[in-house]
Amino acid sequence: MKAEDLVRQIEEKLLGAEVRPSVANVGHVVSVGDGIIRADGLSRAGYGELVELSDGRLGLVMSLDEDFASILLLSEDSKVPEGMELKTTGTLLSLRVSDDLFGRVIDPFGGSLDGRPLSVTNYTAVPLERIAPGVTQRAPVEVPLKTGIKVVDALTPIGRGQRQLIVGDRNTGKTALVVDTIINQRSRDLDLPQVVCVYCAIGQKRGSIARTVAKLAEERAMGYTIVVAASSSTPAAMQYLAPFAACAIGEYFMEKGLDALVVYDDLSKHAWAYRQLSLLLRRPAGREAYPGDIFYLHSRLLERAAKLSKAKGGGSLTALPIIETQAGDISAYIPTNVISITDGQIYLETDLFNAGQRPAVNAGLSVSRVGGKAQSKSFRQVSGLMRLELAQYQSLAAFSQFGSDLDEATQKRINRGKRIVEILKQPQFSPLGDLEQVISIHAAGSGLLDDVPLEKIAEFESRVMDHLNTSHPDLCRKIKGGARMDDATVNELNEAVAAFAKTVR
Amino acid sequence: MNKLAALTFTPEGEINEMVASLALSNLRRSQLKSYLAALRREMRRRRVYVALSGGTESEVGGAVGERYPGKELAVYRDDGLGAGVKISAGDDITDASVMGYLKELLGEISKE
Repeated sequence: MKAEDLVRQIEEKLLGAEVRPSVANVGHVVSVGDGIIRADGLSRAGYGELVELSDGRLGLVMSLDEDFASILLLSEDSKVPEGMELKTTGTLLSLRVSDDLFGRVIDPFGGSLDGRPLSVTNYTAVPLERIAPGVTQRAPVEVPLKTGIKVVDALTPIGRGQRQLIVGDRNTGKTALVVDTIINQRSRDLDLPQVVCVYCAIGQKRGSIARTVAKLAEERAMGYTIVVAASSSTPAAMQYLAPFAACAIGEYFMEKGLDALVVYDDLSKHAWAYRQLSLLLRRPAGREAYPGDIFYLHSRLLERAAKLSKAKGGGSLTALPIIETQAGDISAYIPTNVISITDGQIYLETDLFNAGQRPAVNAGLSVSRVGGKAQSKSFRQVSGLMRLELAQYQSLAAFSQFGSDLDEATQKRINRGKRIVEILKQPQFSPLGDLEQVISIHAAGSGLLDDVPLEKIAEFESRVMDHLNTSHPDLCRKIKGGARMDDATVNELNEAVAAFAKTVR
Repeated sequence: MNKLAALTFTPEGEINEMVASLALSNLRRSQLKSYLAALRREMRRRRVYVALSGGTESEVGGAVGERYPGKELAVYRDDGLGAGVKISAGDDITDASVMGYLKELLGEISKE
């Protein structure tokens, strides 16, 4: 703001001055500790209301007792003297959102964390806590959100408006999977509208957040991505609020009729932060010392993911929460809670990861309850066959070590399964388009690669698209639309792929 | 503790000496601290503080007294207000002073 603007603003205010009495409900700080203020007075304060300290800092009312209000200090500087006055504001915590946030890294209150000044113009103030859209405001999930990862798009497809959990131990590729998904939104497969991405980092090391942001920038994904970060060194209050801020940003774009994707990385640390706050607020501790409302904390957050009806603009908010398990235990408290809230889960397994199967998705424990309807017809056609072959292979895999005792049909099935597993491997940061995925999955699932040596599968995959694009451009165009392939197209594809497979044997 | 603090006052606003002496003789040190805080809150609740700059005490006091019937009025001068009046009744503060208006204006501008 220029000095002249400020002077004019004050002059306008003074000229139009209408001295109306201000009415405030006040209280006084009784004690402060670990970012929690206990204050008396504030007889009209409401749960979740913002209160203002006399030095301008803000606090959030977290509980109201007979004598005291417990307030979360929303500031890293926790020096608050006893007796300091605070007053109610009558407002809820909100965030200023506009298109200016694209490419930026912000904290849960909208402050810049990337070292550049941030000025949000033409903004809308969106509250961090909101009630999720009702049943009548929603529409079925039918549009795919392509991750570009074959194993996910084929076995656990995600639809726009879905909540899909990504669960696994540390170092199993959970963040890599969501980063690939964000990068894949750069391409506009099947002529679908652009997806706006919000990546929310909760309780992570600052170095990890910086690496993720750098990767997104390198892959030109920051143009449609906003990063909300509350690192492990920030107060628990910031970590508690971060996913709600990310969700509020996603909702803003959803209500504009756009498709938004929000990644919560991760909700285990969010649960830890909330547990810390709850213990400091002296709420009764329940299982694993989590408070009684830990389920409601995550359900009210994830329930805000939705596909809105046409009358409401048709936008969507897809949620990809991440949960870190300990020693592969998905039956622990927080994982089971979030599994029951979401519409499916992608389970990443350490053993698979160490065996070189990356992404390390356990096909047996992963499921998508609503995404199947969102697959393109051609994709559904080829993935159905592959899923069946994979399931049969997994049930027979235990016997594969006694190969010499197996009959020819079983041996053949196992060989095909191995090729399917091989084709589902995919390097990091290289998401694939719909066409490439359909061709690879069809080739493996329909047995066209049965005679290709396992070590040559990656070579086949890397070269087949160039071959088909140059020698069968019409066929590629037909499949690319996403429509169900008729028999003639399938035969043509089989002939083309089989002929090429012979060249890589 | 809030109830005990309320019982310490008679309906006329006097101290109920029996309740006060019982409290003083029976409450432990830590409880006395809470009792003191509750007493202060109760006093704030029962008393209306009127700070004024300009006008006469009787004029303002009379007008405020009508607004808060049954409450004890404590009227005092505060030239720091610039002009106007500031009324504190329990947790509620009604500020109709120039200084209050300027503070609010400053807050709005700094938010911009």
